[in-house]
Amino acid sequence: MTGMSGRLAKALSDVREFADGEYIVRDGALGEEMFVIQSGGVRISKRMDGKVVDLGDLGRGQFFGEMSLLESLPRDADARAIGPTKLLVLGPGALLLRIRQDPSFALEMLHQLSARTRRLNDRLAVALEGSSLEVE
Amino acid sequence: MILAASLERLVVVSDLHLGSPASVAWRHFPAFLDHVHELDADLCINGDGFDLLQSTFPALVAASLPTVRRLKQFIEAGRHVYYTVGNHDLAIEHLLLDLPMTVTPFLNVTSGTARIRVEHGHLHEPFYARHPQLYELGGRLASGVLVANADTYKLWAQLQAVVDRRRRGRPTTRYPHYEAASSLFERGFDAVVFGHTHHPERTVLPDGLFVNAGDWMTTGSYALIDGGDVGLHAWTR
Repeated sequence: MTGMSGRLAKALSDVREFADGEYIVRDGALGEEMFVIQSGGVRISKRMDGKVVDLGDLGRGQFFGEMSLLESLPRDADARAIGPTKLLVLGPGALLLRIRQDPSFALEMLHQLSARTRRLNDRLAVALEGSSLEVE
Repeated sequence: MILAASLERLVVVSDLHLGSPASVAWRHFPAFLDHVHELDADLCINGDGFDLLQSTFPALVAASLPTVRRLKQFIEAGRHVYYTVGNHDLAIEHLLLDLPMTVTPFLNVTSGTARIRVEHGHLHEPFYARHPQLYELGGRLASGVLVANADTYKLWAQLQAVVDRRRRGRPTTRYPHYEAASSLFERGFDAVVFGHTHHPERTVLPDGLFVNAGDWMTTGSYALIDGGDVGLHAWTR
């Protein structure tokens, strides 16, 4: 569980640094890596009808980019650094090794994904309020 | 499930092993809770607080009652108690969930500007990770020896210390708990507080601070998270 697998996980993951405002990923781009914020922050935003809508800010310990990694689909939003930002970058193999080495990471991911789903459900409920649309 | 909390001051104790014939926690821990209250701190029992693996249910109840009663008062006085589950109390997790405290597999504490992981650490023990059932069987067999003579714990502790030293001295592999800590530092943590090994320790590693809160088998020790710093202390009163 530890020892060699820990060093492999390190070898298969890398750390990248970004300056304030620098794009980390762009909406629609291809990429199968996820990111864990070691320091700094990240703003997630999406361009809709010509306007940039901020979807939220993430801080140290939080992650993003997992949707493209898990589903092999293009990025769904822009991500930019807030201040000097350092990110741990995980590809599919490194993610699996890291989860094997530190199962609590998987639980933290599920916890954050669950919270995001709950927030989206709340937003959807507000958006549908008074509308004739129904969600199956 | 609560996995994170912002807390300026938190006392972390590990391995009380209430119910085990070798533990002195039943005698000292209720008074220690008064000290935690005086420190104006919340409390985290970082795994193996109660020990059903190496005790009988009647022994567990008898040893735990004074602590549980004092914990209730502590909580009624406005303090919060977190309980991270270890390997000796996993079987009574559902019972723990009915106590007025937050039960969790680990706790990510934000204190000051620091992010600190508090977890028992048994999953980083290579043998437990590979063979949890064998590990439990070994623990159960050892309980018979402990009931016959509680002092055999000291022999076990000495043996563990030798194994621990050999692990740390190996040039080819890193100490598993340091390895686990490094992995957490990579994820943006500044410090870790583990338990499980029963060896109190505070070591500054290249990327962060490693603390083991020790145990309450023969004497008591605790970690104090205060404004982002983590100190290690012995309970002497």
